[in-house]
Amino acid sequence: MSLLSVRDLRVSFGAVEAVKGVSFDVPAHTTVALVGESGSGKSVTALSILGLLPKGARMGGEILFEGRNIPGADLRGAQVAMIFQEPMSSLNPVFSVGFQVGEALRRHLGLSRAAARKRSIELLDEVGLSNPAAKLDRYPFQLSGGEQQRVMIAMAIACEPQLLIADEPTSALDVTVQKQILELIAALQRRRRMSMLFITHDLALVKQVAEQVVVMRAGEIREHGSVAAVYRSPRDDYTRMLLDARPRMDQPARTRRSTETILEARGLAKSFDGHRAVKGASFRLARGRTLGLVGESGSGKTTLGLLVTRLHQASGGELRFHGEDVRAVPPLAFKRRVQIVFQNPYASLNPRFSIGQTLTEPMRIHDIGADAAERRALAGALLAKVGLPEGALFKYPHEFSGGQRQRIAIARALALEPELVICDEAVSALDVSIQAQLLNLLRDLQDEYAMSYLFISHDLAVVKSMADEVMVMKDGEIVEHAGVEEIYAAPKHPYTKTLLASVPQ
Amino acid sequence: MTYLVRRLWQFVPTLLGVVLLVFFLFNWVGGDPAYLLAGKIANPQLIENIRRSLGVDQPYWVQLWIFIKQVLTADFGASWSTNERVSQIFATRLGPSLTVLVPLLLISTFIALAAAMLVAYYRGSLTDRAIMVGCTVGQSVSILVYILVLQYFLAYQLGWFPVQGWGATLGENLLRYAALPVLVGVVVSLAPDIRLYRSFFLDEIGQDYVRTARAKGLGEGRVLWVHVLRNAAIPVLTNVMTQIPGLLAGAFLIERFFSIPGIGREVILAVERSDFPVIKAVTIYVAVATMVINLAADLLYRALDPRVQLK
Amino acid sequence: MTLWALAAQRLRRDRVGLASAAIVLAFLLVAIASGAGLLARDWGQEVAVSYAPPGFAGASAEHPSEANVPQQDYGIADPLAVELAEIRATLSGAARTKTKATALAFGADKWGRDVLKKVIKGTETSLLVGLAAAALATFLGTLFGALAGYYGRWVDDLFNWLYSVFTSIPYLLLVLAVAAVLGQKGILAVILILGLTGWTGIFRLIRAEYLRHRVREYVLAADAVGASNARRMFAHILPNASHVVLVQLSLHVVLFIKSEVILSFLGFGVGVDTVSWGSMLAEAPSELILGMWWQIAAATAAMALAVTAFSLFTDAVRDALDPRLQ
Repeated sequence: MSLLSVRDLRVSFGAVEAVKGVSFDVPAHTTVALVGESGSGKSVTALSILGLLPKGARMGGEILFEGRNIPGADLRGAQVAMIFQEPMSSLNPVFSVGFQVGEALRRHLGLSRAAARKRSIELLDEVGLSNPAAKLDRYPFQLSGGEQQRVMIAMAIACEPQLLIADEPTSALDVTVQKQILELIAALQRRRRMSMLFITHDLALVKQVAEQVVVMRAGEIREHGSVAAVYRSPRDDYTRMLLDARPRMDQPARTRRSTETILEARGLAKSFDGHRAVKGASFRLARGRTLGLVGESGSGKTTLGLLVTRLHQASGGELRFHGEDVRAVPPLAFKRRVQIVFQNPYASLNPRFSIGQTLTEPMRIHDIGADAAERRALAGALLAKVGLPEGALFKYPHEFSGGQRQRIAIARALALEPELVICDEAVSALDVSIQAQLLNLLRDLQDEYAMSYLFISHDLAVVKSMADEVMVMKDGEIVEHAGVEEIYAAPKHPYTKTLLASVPQ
Repeated sequence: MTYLVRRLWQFVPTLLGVVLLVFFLFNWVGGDPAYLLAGKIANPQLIENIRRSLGVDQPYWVQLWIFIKQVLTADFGASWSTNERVSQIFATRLGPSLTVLVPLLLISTFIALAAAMLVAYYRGSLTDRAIMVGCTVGQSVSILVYILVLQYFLAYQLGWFPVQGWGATLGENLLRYAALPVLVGVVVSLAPDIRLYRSFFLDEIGQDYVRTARAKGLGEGRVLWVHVLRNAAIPVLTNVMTQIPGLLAGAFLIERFFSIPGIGREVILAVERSDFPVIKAVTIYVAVATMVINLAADLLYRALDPRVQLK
Repeated sequence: MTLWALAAQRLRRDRVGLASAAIVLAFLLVAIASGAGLLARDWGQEVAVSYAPPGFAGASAEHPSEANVPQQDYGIADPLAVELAEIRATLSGAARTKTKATALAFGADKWGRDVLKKVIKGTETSLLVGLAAAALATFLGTLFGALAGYYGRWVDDLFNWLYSVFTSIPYLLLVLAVAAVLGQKGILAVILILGLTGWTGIFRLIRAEYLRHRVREYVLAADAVGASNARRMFAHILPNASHVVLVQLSLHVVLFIKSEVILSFLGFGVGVDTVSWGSMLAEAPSELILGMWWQIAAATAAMALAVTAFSLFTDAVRDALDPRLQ
C-alpha cells in the first residue's frame, strides 16, 4: 500500500482546467519527482494534497493517505509537511525564527514554551544552521536565502512527517547553496525514513534526487516510472523532447576563429554608495565571438554588463571600443553599435506600446528608414528573422508568451544591426524547451550578422553551449578567464571548481 | 540615536517652508487687513494707525523677521478680535479638543479594526459586499449632514444628549457633553477606516507566509488573529497616528456645532473674523505637531516592523 | 488589442460599474444642461410660498389666483400686505395674476425658491468645482511627481520639501487659511483653492510609480536604443502610470465635491448669487428647528447619489485597470 495515492485529481479555476485527471502513487520511504514546465499543473497538484488551493478552486477526485480518504487540512504539519520555493516571503517577517519553528511544535506536539525552544535549537542544528541558539531570536530577513530555506525545512520536519512535499525548494537559490540544501534534504530523508514528493522543472535535478518520476504537461501526466528507466528510454515524445532540449555539460563546445578585438576593458569598476559591485574587471572581446560571463547572484555580472552598454556610468577604469575610449564616443553613436537583451521578458517590453512601435522606435531615433512605411517593412523583416509573423506588429506584449516576447526583444536589439549584444540572462526565465529554441536562434543570428556576444548567465550548461571563452565572477572580481573547453575540463580557481561540482549532471 | 538627530534637523527646512508659506499667504496675499479691522466707518488716519500698530507698513523682510521671531519664541501676539494673547488661547482650548479626540480615536479605531477583520475574513461573501457598499454610501453623505441630523434627532427631539455646550469638570465633560460629539465623529470615520483597514488585511492575507502558516497545520483563527493581524497592525497604527494632526484641526465642524471650546472652533471663529494672528499661530503649531507626530509614527513603525532599518 | 480595450471589456462585464457609470453620466448631463441654461435657469425666482412643503409628502399644490394672500411669517401677518398688493397691481398695469404655489415637487426654501431647481443648479456648481479642481490638482501632482520620481536627487529633494511643507498643514486647515486670505468668494476662487492645495496625495503616488518604473527593464531598453529623458518620462512611463492618474483624478473629484460643500457651508465657498449643495445645507440648521426637512433631504440625497455613484465607478475603473490582472 502506498503512502499517498492520488486518484483522478481534477482542479479547475473558473473555466480553466489546471489539472485534468492525474493519478500517481508515492510509496513509503521513496522520493517521487513531479516534473513539468510552467503551466503543467505540478504546483497545483501539490497544493491540493494539503488542501491549500486558493479560494475559487474546484477540486475533484480522491487523495488517499495510507489508504484512507483524509481531508488534506487534517494532515498538515503532522503527517504531511510542505516547503516552498521562495523562503523569504514564505516566512512571516515580523516573527522570530524561534517563534515560527516553536509554533509548529506546540501546535502538534503540545510542548511547553521552554521545551519547544530547546527542541527548536536541536532542529535548527539538525538542518545545518550555524549557531542555532543565537539565530533562534533573529528575524527571517536577517538570514541568507540558504539559511531561510533551512529554517523552513526545520519547521516542516519538526513533527516527524511521513511525507515531505517540496515545491521547487532550490529554484530561488544559487547553485552552490542548492547543492547543500539538496544534500541536507537527502540526509534528512534517509535518517527519518520520510517519503518525498519533489516538484521541479529541472530534469538534471530529478536524476540526482529521485527514484521515481512523473512528467506532467498541461494538466496531464505524460509519463511516469523509475528515473533510470525513463531517462534511459523515454516512451513519450514530450519527455524525449525535454531530455534532449537540455544543454549538456558533456557536449563539446563550439569555437570560432578569433579575429580583431572590438572591446577592451581595463580595470572597470563600479560602486554603489560605498558597496563595490565591480572591482576592476579587465578583458577583451573579439569580433564574432561569444564571451561567457558566469557567476551567482551578487557576483556583479549584471552590473558589468550594464557598464559595457554604458547604461551605468563606471566609477573607475577604462573601456575601449575599437581602440577608442568610449567616453569620447557620442552616446547615440555608441548605442547604435552596442545593444542588450534583458532577462525578464515580462518587463523588457513596454506594455503600452504595440510591437510595431517598440521595433520602430530605435529606427526613428537613429534615422533609419525614410518614412513610417519603410520602417514598418523593416520591422516586419526583423520579426520574420526571429520567427514571428508580421501580424505581430499590431499586437501588444501581453498577447505573447515569455519565449515570444524574448524573440521580440532580440528583434529590437537587432534593429540597429549592432556589433555587440549583451545577453543578460536572456534565456534564464524561460522553460527548458523554449530555451533551446532561443539559444539556437541566437547562434544563427550571430553567424548571420557577425555579432559578438557578452553572454551572462548563472547556468553553466547554457554558457558552455554558447561561449568561446568564459569568465567566472565572484564578489565583483573576475577569478578565472579561459577558453571554454579548458575551463570546464580543468578549472584552476577553487571557486570555479566548487561551481562546476555543484551542477547537477 | 543619530537617526533621531538627523530627523530633528530635517524639521528646520520644513518649518522654514511652512513659515514662508504662511507668511506669503497672510502678509503678501492677505496683505492689508487694516481696512477689515477699521470697520465700516474709517478715515485715513485711523487706517494708518492700525497699519502701524500691526506692523504692515514695514518692508517685507522686516515683517518676515518679526514673524520668524514670533515663531521661535512661540509668542504670536494678541488676537485681533478678542485681544486675548494667542498662546493663552491655545493653552485653554487644547483640553476640550483632546477630551473629544482621544475617546474618538480609541473607539473608532477599535470598532473599525474589528469590523475590517471580519469583513476580510468573509471576503467575497454577500456580507462583505453589502458592508462595503454600505461604507461607500455612508462616505458619500457629508459630515455636515451627520452632525445636523444626529444632533436634531438624538439631542433635540429625543433629548438623550445635550444639544450643545461644555461643562466644568473632566468627568462631566466626558460623560455628558462629549458623548454625542464622539458618537458623531465615530460614525463619520467608520466608513473610510473600515475600507482602508480591510485593504490592509487583504494585502496580508494574500501573502506567502499565510500559506506556510496554514501548511503548518495552524487553525484559521490563529492564522488571522496572530499572523495576519500582527503584520497588518503596522500600517493601521501608523495610519492612526498620521490622522491625529488632521483631526486636531478637522474636528472644527464638530466643535462648532456642539459649542465645544476647542482649537477647531477657535480656527473657524478666527477665519470668519479674519483674525490673522490666530490663524497663523494655529497653522504653525499644527505644522510642528504634524512633524513631531510623523516622526513618532516612523519610530513606531521601526519598533513594530523588524525589517525597517532606519538609515 | 490595447490594454485600454481590455480594461473597457472588463468594465463592461461589471454590472455595478456600468450602473454607476450611467448615473455619473446622468449627473454630468444634468450639469451641462443646467450650465447651458436648458434647465433650472430660473432657480432664483420666488415661485412658491415660503417653506412650501414637498408634493410627494402629501401636500397638494393649490394655485390661488390672489396675490394678496398674507404671508405667514412666524405667525405675524404682514400689516401692509394688502396695501403692497394694491401698489404692485397698479405698477404692473394689468392685474397680473401672480400665482404662488403652496406645494412643489420637492418643496421650497425660505424664500419660496424651488428646491428641485436649486438641486439641479447645485449639481452644475458642485460638479464643475469638483472636476475643475481635480483636473488642476491632478495636473500639478502628476507633473511634480514625474519630475521628482524620474530625476531624483536634488529635484526630488526640492519637491519633497514642498510636499512636506504642504502636508504639515492639515488639509482642511490649509484650505480654510487660503480661503480666509483670499477673502473673495466665487467658483474660480474655490477651484483654485482646492486645486492648489490638493495635489499632494497624487504627487506621492505618481512619484512612487516613477521611482518604480524608472529602473524597469523596458525603460532601460528605451535608454539602450537612445530615447531621450523626456521621451522616456512621457512617452514610455506616463502611459504605464496612467491608471493611477485616472483613479486619483476620480477620487479627488469626490473629495473636492465634499470639500466645496463644507466651504460653502461655512460661507467661504461660492457667492450668494450661486447655489451649490453646500449653500443649500447652510440653510439647513435654521430650517430643521422649524421642522422643515426637505431642502436638507434633497441636497443630501443628490449629493449621496452622485458621490456614491462616482465612488463605485472609481472602484470599477480601478479593478478594470488593475495591472496585476494583465
